[in-house]
Amino acid sequence: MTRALLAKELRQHAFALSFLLLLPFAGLLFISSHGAIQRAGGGGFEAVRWMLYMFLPLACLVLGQLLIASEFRQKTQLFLEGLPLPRWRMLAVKFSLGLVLTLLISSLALGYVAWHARHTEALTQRFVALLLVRSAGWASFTYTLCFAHAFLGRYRVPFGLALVGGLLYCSALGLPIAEFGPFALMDARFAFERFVWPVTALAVTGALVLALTAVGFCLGLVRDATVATLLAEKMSAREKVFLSLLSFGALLVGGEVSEHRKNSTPVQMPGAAEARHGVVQVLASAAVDAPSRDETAALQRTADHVAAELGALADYLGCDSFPPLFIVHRRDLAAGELVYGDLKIEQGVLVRANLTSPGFNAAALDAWLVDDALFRHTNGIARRDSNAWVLDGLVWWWPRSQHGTLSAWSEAVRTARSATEIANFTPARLHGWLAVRKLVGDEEARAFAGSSLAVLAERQGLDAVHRFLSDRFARAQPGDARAWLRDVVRPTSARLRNATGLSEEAFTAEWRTVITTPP
Amino acid sequence: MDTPAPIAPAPVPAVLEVRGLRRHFGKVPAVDGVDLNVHEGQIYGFLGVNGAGKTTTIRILLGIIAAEAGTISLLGETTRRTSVVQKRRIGYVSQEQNFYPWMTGHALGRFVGAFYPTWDAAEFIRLLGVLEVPGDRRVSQLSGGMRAKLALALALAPRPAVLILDEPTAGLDPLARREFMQLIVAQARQHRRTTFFSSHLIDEVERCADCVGIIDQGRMRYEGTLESLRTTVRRVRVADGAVFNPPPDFECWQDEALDGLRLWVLRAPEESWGALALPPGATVEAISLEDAFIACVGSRVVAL
Repeated sequence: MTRALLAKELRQHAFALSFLLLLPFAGLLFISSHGAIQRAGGGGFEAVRWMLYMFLPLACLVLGQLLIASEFRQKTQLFLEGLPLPRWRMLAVKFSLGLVLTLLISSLALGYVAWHARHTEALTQRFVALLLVRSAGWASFTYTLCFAHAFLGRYRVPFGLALVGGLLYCSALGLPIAEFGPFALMDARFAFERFVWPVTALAVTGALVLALTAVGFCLGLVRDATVATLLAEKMSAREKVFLSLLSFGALLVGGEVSEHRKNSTPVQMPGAAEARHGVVQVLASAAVDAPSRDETAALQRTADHVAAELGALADYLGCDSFPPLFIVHRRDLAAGELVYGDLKIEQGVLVRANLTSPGFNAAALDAWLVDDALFRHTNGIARRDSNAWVLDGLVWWWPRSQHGTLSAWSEAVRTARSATEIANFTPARLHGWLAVRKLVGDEEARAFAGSSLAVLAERQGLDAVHRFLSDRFARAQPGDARAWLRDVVRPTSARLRNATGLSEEAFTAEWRTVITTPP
Repeated sequence: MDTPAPIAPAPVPAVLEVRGLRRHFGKVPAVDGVDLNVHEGQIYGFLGVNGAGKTTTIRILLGIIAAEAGTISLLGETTRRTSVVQKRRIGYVSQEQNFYPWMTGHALGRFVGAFYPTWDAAEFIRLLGVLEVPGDRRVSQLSGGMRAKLALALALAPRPAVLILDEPTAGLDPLARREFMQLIVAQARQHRRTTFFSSHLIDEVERCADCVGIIDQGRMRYEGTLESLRTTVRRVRVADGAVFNPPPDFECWQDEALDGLRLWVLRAPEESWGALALPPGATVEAISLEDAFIACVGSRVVAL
């Protein structure tokens, strides 16, 4: 009976099973032929660790699908149920076959590398036993997880995605996933640990393996397998909508939680010149061992200037927070050169410049910082295609309007009249601002966008522009789907109408008229 | 010397006896106290509309699902749930043939044969020949009728004591259906094999079965031979306005007014019919299995 079932499974999945067995060895063969096994360290067992960590879960997933899910999907389990065969035995054969194959893959991969390393590594019995136990523990865990997972029928994919997403999310939150049970078995010590048995990790893994096996068998046997049969039915449209909404909700909640728990390392600049203005903090430091007196003065001067300039902007916009600003002085940079510093979005803005160069342009630095700080403050929303014209316009208009107290009308008209784009400008071009930018160039696009704010200020009043810009930039946006959702619900066009009473069509028409009318 | 008294024929033993079988799905009673008596060599037609509880009853008989209450006596062994050992003596043809599509008929025979100690490989090959099923062709390449025949060959090859078929002709065209049922009857008669088949096709049951069981909403409404049905279930026509109340020992299956007449379908022991007092002008007539079936389960439909 068992033999017939085994033969059936092997015959049915012969191609897929052979592929699963051969693929890791093809990979290891490829790696070894390029000497990577030797280079990987740990006598090549590091390569096996990666293979087991990355490949084995996929292999187990495929095994689960082949042995369990496909049976229920094709309803061939009904045929087996009609035979004089206890249901538990049918499941036990499938479970055992999958487990044996999984253990075979991991053990053979280990054996292959051990054979390679036999002359270069001290393969003590204890070391080999440790390797075997760790890999077997991991293999059993991944297989039993996939075994139980395969019974979930139409919920397999959502559950799998939720599981992977959950693990990645926990990892991003800094939870010590890698130190937990089966993951700890496959940690960086795998290829190197020769003496200490991972007792706790093994115990946790063993418990998990038993629990997952029990869950799998329960799902397959409970209520005469009617649960598994029902789960294998196709998903209805209502369920799809429900799961989509659930996923979206989970994303939002996840974003909320991660924002509260986010713990990026603050940037440290010991000995930096510091300046503050309201919510704006500026730190300026020199990338040299001993800055000269001129450099020290330039650092403080720049910090004070930037703090005043951006502090005024933050006050004007009504920002309740602002990304910290870091300026690094570098002697090797050219006068007008500004080099971007790669920080996480919540860490702030870092820019490198030569502050003591005679040709240093403080206005260019201000423009850079306004642009990047508001980009980070809004978590990228300010540079969305449909919003970028406002940010570009603000960067141009802010210094020329003397911090929002003048319309900068005449300069705007003068600048924008040279733009060839204006004659055919429509709201559609506003929504595709990045294309306009590409067409006319960054500086030209900024001046062009700035002219729109100047026109607004002249025609609708400075207060209207103030309201519009505050509405667009004051609120810090979270680093998840909520920012996008808020922007979709209240796009720039709606904010413009709210603040100025103008629709986009009316706004662009007026802008076009003003700019193209001969002086 | 005295002539020996004639020996009374021994009663045919019951091969399958079911008592009080009960099974719910959620709050819905799929099978609600079913009793069955299937005797050796008998062809038993299990009749019911869709959703009456036929398949659930059969799945319980085969031990595929468990009963919540009741007992099953199969081949002299009484259990709550049919065991694997008992199941080895049952041939089963399901409503849908969920065979592995990649297997050929021969491969399927080898696979199924491993589960039956009494499997007769030569008989299987012979049956494939008789039924004209190409054994070297994959199941996926067989028509619905061919698959049903293949299922029958698989069910008969272990030479089972009992053959259970769950609506075996569902989905077959009338010709294939008739041919298939003829094969079953021939097999049953030739090997004196107890055969239990479910169907919602009255003509099929009437043509093939010795004994019929009618199930409705999970409850057995009638069980007996077709002959007994003809003698115990009859229609009474009474002129509208005439006073007629069926006696208490008469079970009323139908009571309706039609064209100035009142029609009653009643069930009672044969001897009770002779003593029935009828109003003037009333008539009693025998009815067909179809009329009896509709009277038995159709009142619910009429009420709609």
